[in-house]
Formats: sequence, C-alpha cells, structure tokens
Amino acid sequence: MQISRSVLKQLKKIAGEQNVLTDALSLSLYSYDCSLSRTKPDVVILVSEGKTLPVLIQFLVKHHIPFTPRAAATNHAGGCATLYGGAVLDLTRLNRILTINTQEKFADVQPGVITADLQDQASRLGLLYAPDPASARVCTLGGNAAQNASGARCMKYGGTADYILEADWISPTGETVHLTRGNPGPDWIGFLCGSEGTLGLFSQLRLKLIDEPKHIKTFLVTFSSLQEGIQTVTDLAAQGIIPRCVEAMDNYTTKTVEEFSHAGYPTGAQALLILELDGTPKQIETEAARLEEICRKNSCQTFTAARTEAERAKLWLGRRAAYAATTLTAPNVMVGDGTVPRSQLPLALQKVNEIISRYGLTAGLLFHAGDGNFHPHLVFDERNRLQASLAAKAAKEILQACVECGGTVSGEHGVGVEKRAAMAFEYDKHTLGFFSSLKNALDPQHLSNPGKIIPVDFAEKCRPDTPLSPAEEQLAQEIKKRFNQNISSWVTGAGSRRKHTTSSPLNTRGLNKIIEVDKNNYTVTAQAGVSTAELAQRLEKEGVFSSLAADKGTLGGAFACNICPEFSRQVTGLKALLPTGQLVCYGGKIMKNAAGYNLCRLFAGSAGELGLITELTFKIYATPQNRLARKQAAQNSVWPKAFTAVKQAADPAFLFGQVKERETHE
Amino acid sequence: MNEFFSPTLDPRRPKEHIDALPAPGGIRSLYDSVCFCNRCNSCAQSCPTFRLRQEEFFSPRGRNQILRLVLEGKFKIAPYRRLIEKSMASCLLCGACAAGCPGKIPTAEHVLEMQRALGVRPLPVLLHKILSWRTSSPRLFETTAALCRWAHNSYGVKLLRACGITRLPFLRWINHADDILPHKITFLRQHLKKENPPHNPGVLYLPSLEAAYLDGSLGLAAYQKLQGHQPKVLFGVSSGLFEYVYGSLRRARHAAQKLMMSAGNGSTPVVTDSADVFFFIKNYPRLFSHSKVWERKARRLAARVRFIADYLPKKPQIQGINRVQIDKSALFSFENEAFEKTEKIFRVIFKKNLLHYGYKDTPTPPFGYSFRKENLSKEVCFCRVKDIARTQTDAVFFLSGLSAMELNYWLKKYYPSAKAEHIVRLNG
Repeated sequence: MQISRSVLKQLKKIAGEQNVLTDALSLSLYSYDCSLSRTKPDVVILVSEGKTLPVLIQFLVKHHIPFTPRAAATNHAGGCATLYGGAVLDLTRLNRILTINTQEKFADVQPGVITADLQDQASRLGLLYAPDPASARVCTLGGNAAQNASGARCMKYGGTADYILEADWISPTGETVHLTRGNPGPDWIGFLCGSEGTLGLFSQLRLKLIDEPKHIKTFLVTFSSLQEGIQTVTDLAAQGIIPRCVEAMDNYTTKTVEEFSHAGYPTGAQALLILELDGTPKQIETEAARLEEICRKNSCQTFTAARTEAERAKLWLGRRAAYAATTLTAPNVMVGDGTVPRSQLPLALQKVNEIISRYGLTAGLLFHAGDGNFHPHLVFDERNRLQASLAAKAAKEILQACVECGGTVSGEHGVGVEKRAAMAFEYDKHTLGFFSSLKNALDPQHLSNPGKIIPVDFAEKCRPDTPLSPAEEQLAQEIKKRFNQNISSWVTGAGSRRKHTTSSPLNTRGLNKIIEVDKNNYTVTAQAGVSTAELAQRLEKEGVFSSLAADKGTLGGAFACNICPEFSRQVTGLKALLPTGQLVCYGGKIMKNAAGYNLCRLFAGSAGELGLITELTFKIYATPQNRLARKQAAQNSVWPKAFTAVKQAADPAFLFGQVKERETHE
Repeated sequence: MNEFFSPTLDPRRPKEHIDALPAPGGIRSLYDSVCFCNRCNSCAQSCPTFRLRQEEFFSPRGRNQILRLVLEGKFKIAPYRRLIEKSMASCLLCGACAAGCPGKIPTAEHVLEMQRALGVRPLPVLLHKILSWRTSSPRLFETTAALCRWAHNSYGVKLLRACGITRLPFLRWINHADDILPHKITFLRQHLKKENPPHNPGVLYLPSLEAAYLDGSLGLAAYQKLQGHQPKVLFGVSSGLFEYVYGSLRRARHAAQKLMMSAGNGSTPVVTDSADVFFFIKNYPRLFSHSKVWERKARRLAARVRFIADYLPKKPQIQGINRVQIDKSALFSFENEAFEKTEKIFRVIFKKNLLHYGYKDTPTPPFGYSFRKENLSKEVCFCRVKDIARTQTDAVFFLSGLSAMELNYWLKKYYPSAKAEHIVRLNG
C-alpha cells in the first residue's frame, strides 16, 4: 500500500523525524524474522517513548494503515511479517525495567525489555522470573507475552500468561486499557496473551516474580528406548515429583551435539533426559532418591547426578549447544513446535522420524518431555528451492501428525503466517469462525498484525465438525431453537452460584459424565454438569488430586464463575456451545497450546455470557494440592468497555445475558 | 553476484576479497558464510552498537542481511551507498557477535569485506597515510613517527591544540591521539639500544604498533618477560593487520609475506603482545588461498605464533588490586586461545576476584575505531566505564595495548579509581 507524503510527515511529527524509516533498504531490514517469511513494510516506526504508542496507533487506524508490532523479531513462525504492508512498530527501544518490588514480588516492565535482563536483575535480588524461552538472552518480554512463551521450566512453573499480573493493553483501535487480574468477567490478560499482536499490544506489564530456589540438582539419564524415557517422566508425575526441567534428545541429536560440544553424553543411548530438581536440600534429597529409583525401574542405562556447579554446567552444555550444533550443518534451521499429550510422545516422534526420512531431510529432535512439546530442527538451505519446499512440506506433515496424536500445531512459538494453514488440521470451521469473529470484534478494520493465525478460506479446508454427544446435541438443538426464536437464556448448573433471572434456564445437568481420568498425562476430561463433589470422590478413588475443592456446584459453574482462578489456569481443553448453537473446541490433554486465541482463558469467568461450556479437560496431580482461596461468584459481569464487542461476537442477539461496561483508564 | 564481487578475469590472480572465511564447520565462501545467518538474532545483545542504537541497521543481523541483499543483486550499492556505509562503518569489528552467534558466523569479517567492496577508508586521511607507510615505506614511517613523538613530547601538539589548528576537520584526530597517548612517547628501539640481539634466539618478538612506536615501555615489559628465552625483536616488519583492516588485501599479503621471510623457516616461536595480531597471524592461511606455497608457509607461521600470556610468570606478585577484569575487546573475535590462556592465569591469581566478562559487557572500541567513529566510540566507551563502575572493578587488563590506552583515557575522565593495563604489566 502507498502511504502518502502528508501522512508520513504527520507520522514523523508524532514519532520524531529520525524514528520513521522509509527507504527501501531499511524496509528490507524489517522484512524478516527468524522464519522464512519475508514481506516488506511501507514504513518502519522506531517507538522511543511509550506514551506515543497509543497516539501512533490511533493515527494509523485513522488512516487505515495496518501495523505490526515487532521487537527482537526472533519469531519462528513469521509473526513479524507484514503481510499487507503498512507500518512496523519497532518496540525495542521501550526497554526499561521500571520497578522491581521485592516486598510484593513483581516487576513493572516495558515490552522491549530483554527477558534475560529481567531474570538477571531479579536474580540479584533473590527472585526468579520463571518463564525461560530458549532465546531468553535476546527475546523481549512483550514478544513473550504476545506468543505466551514458556520454555524448559514450563512443566513446573507455567508460561508467560501465568506471570502477568497487570497490563496496559492498547487495543487495535488505539484505546489504552489497564487490565488487572481478579475482576469479574473473563481472564482478559490470559486471553490476549498469545494473540500474537493480532488483538492489539501490551505497552506495559506487571510481572510476577517468585522466590528463587536456592538449591538445584541436575541429572543426566539415558535409556535404550524413547518409551522408557517417557514412562519415566510419567512415573515421576505419578509420584508427585514435578522437575524444574525435563529436557530430552533422541539418538541422532545426542550424537550431533556430542560431536560438536563434547559434553560427555553417551552416544549409544536412544533417549537422553536432563532432569533438574529444585527446592530445599531435604526435599531435593528425597526426590532425587525417588527419581533414581524410578529411572532404575525403567531400566535406565546411565544415571549421572551433577555434584558441583561445574558438573551441572557440563550437563547443560550439550543441551544448550543443540541449536548451535544444528546451525552448523546447513544455512537454515526450521524449528518445529508441535505439542502432543505426553503419553503420545513416542508415537509422535516415531511419525516425525518417518516423515523426515521420507523427505530425505536431516533433523535434530529436542523436546521438553515434561509437557509433550517437541522441536524438530529441520536443517536445509533456502537457496535450494527443492530442499526448502521439501522442508516446508515435511514441517506441515509433522504438524498434521501432532494433531492426529491429539496435539496442537504450536506449543509455544505461535502460529504467525507459516503455520496458519496448519490451523485447519486442528480446528473445525466453527472454532476457526469463532476465532475470526473475535478478531473482527476487537479489530474491525483488521489493522493489528493482519493476516495471522486464522487460515484463509478455512471453511473449505478445515477438519470436520467435532461430533456432539447426545446430551450436547440436545442442548445444541435447544440453543439453536432459542436463537431462531430470539429467546433469552440463562446457563445454570446446580444453581448454587448465581441468582436466577427471568430468562429461561439452560441446564447442564444432562452433561454429567466424567469422560476420562488419564493417569499417563495427569488430566481429567469431564462434562460441565458433573458436580464438584462427585468429581472429588472419583479423583479420590483414583488416587489423584485437583485444585478444585468439592462444593454444591458443578464443574462448569466453578470454571465459568472463576471461583478458583488457580483451577481455571489448569484447564487445558474446553468445549462450549455458543449462543448460536455452534460447538467450539479448544485444546485438550496438551500441557501448552499457542495455536489460536486462548478460549480457556476467555471462558474462565465468562459466567455463561459467551456460551454454554459442555466439557473441560484439566490438570490433576499425584499429591494433594493447596486448595486456594475461593471467590464468591460475581452476580454481575462488568467488562471493560473495550471488550463488549467480544460479547457481541459470541452472542450477536444478546440472548445469554447482558454485560455491564466498565470505563477503563490509562 | 553484484559488480563488486564479480570474479576477476584471470583466475590465477589473487582476488581483492577473501574467499575463505573461517567457520567451526570448515572454510566457507563469503556468500555461503553470509547465508548461514538464519536471522535468529542471538547476536544482537552482544553487539555494542545495536545496544546503543536499537536499530536493525546497527545490528549484526542487519549487516549480514545488507551484505546478502547486495550479493544476491537485490540492491545496487550506488543508490544506498551512504546507508550501507553508515551501517558497516559503525561496526566495531570486535567480534562479540560471533561469540553470541550459535553458528559462529564471522560478521566482522563480512563487514570488512563490504568495506573493501565499497572502497571505504574510514580513517582520517593523514592518519591513514602515516600508518600505511609502516609497510610501504618503513623508513619514512619511522621518520614521521619520530617527528610526531617529538611534537608530542615537546608540547608541540598541545600548542597546536591551544592555537585551534587541530580543530580543522582533517586534523581533528590529533586531539584524540594526543589524549590517549602516554604522557611521554618512547620507541622500543630506544629502550633496547644497548641490548645485543642473540645469535641463536629462543623466541622472536614481534612488537605491536603500540609497543614499538607509541609506548616503548610496554614493548620493554613484554621483552623482559621473554628475557629467559633469548628474545630477538623483529624490528621493521609488521603483521599486515593495519592493511587488512584499513588498506588493501594486496598490501596485507605483502606485509605478511615479509614477516614470514623475516621469521624464517625454523621452529622458533614468534611471540606478540597483541591479541589482535596473534589472532590475525593465526588466520594467515586464508589470505593465501590462491597460492599453495604461501599458504603452506602461512600455516607454518600460524603454528609458531604465540601470545605473550604464555610467557607470563605463573604467580606474579600483585598488590593493591582487588577486583579485576580481563577486557576481551579484540578485532574479529574474543573467543580465541589467547584469552583462554590469560583467563587461566588470572583465575589462579585472583580467584573469585576475577570478574566475569559476560556477553553483555560492552567491549572497548578496538584499534582505530575512535578515529573513524568519534561520537559512537565515545558512547561505547562511556558504557564500558559504566560497566566497570557498576562492578567496582579496580583494574582492567587488556590483551592489546591500544585498547588499554583508549580505555585509560576514559577511566581517568569518569572513573579514576580504576585503571586499564596491558597484561604484561601484571607485575606492576
């Protein structure tokens, strides 16, 4: 698109003459990220002051200029590519850590702060910022929030979304909204985190810091088969041992890495695990003994514990050099990011190896075994067109294989433009349609990082509709009927949480099955009408635990009213009937999911105003969990004004209740 | 391929650009080497210019991409010459990016190639001329250097400054040179006037430019460290590093050939006091990829070259220094054996008081940078001083005399409680 001179002149006035780049060479330097996508923007704006950001966005919106936020541009999925030209908003200069509060343990940061900088600063004060993407030394916190980045410590500590306490969000229309956690209504921060800049951007973040564990112990364990390695991780979870990191490599990668780094890894092993425990010395000692026992039970070949810091560094040397080892073999490395339920890892890896050998490619295989997230490093030369197209095809097939194994196309790298088509493998047309209407609602002009996440013409290419259970079918018919007849509805379960209104009730009592208690993945899938008491009883019988305490209400009610936010964050999969009667499905038994908008966070606290939740999948544990403070269900939903369009997108006729608007200020 | 990199008509003629760049996986052509940058941006935070400017133009990734675009013919140089020069000339050539890069891509070498292709001679003309005489006309250089020494030592330069003559654009560099140089310039030759060169030397000492002509006491200190090995000083020859960075490859090769001939074919080690020179000689073979005979000779010399750290006493006496840092600023890479050996020695002496030099520590601008990019150099040095002050470092030891001189000036100005020294002065 052509940006007129007068518009550029005004842009220079807002951002500063030196901060607006328009020459072809500069634009070329902002046309790429770490992926293969290259598209030239029309203008690059170097944002040097946070306060100009909303003004700039308002100006761009006024002139219908698409904008793409960008910081370190380390994205592996083409998230920074400007598909429709427009402006690149370079946020790298917003790199100040504003506050670190050691009393209340939080840090206020600008989006361009390098992740490792915050980690280093916090560490000096005895605190830890837990998310640790592999590129922490160069990626930015704003980018982490946009992708919901996690990293090796995710199994124990969770991803970026779990660490954002408050945020200043600039909507795609340029309105600044201060978001906090704990207000009635959906978990907006969780929903926006991972939206890849397609729903606006964060201009400031308040991040949670935790006490840094003083004692860490690292182990290197090798196995003669991948299955044994994965079984070990499952057994650890079953014993209630959640390691700080569980990193794994296959035989080929171990050999490549050893050749490069000489870290002393046994090259004969089929699977190599690096496990790390943290906590108090006593706790580590107990867990280490149990860890060794489990590893030996699963016939480990070698079991090495690091005794000194130097030995620990040596154990990590190979793992840290893995990317470097692959980058030496060819000019390009395509880093995959499929995630499957942990129990499906051996099958998924087998499929991946088949695909790689079928295409005659070379790839290293690294994975975060704890959360089923694996990163095949496909090496190729983009100058060789045939090789590049084979690599792209193989990467796509790998993603398809992940979905077939019950997984997702992205665990932490996001979808961007490169995995956009693969979204059709994972989601049906209703879910993709819902994603699309959410985008339309918040960004009606499609100006904020347009063209990402949602595949083009998805209705024709996407997977078939998810089959409905008889109870879901019955409810879907009823909702459709009411939608056609314009009848207001009120979602209710046991009726214990919110007062009845005059609307006709839609009861979830028929949805009363606990579908699966999966002790391999440590997840439960249950219908929303199951009572929390029945659920607790069943879990007790199975010898597992969840964060949700038993009460008079239902599972769906507890989640929809967000009475236990900690539990809501443990929900990994969801099915819901929209007020139009369409079923949307998101996530599943996967521990992390960065594909699409996070519907689990959107429906948590939505109090039935966005639709009727029919099924939930959530994490369970081998040991009793701290039952955290329960909140009273809010009787009135009060949403920030900027988000009322979301309600309209889900419920165009406002049949599932009205939400009150809350004015938001900077 | 664009017009600057088109192959010469005579394939036997040495090319005016390097076609064999070092990489951990082997030797690569320039284009291959550039293409191995997969834009992961791991280098960005170790690049001092990117950290200061926060612009892709000043990042190693950006520089590599510019070169790639030019090599692939996607951009003609002519319309963007000013921008390309701006990006390339801002590079410190410190090699910190190569250390941060997972694939160890030698971006500094790429930048140098681009500078050669652009025909950039970024040093002030007069300074460039004087320094280039060192290889082309050694006698003229020595005479000019003596004249400059006299002008500096007899306060002539101060007088010129007071008169405002050095404010003239082409003479402005004199101010900075006067600032960073020691109070009294001495030549190494003066110090060693009474020494008789041994007939059967145990080591050949190749003094760096600064040790030979700017701070003779530094050369003397290095010489004294070699006393037990019957050292012979190689006067009148240079490694060709200056020509390699600022001149032409032809002249760099010529200087290297001269050094190889002076050093002879024996196995006597050639010792140097500058990590830059040491690393450059180690990489001599790639200068001669067009001639097998010279390449073989270059390999032989590369195997013989040693850094002065090998000859430092293992347990020197240190007093009054608590917190110490080794500054790894160097040309092209700070990940070479010279640093490893020095660090080992320092770790034994200073133990926990040896402060870690991390990937985000700002390097001191190496050789000549402050003369070509005065303002940026000032900013980089200021960041370096801030790093030193933040860590409350007492002494910063360098493996190159020029960088030590540069930082010393800024330390005196902003943080006088710390000092910068070359490692040969470890004993005070």
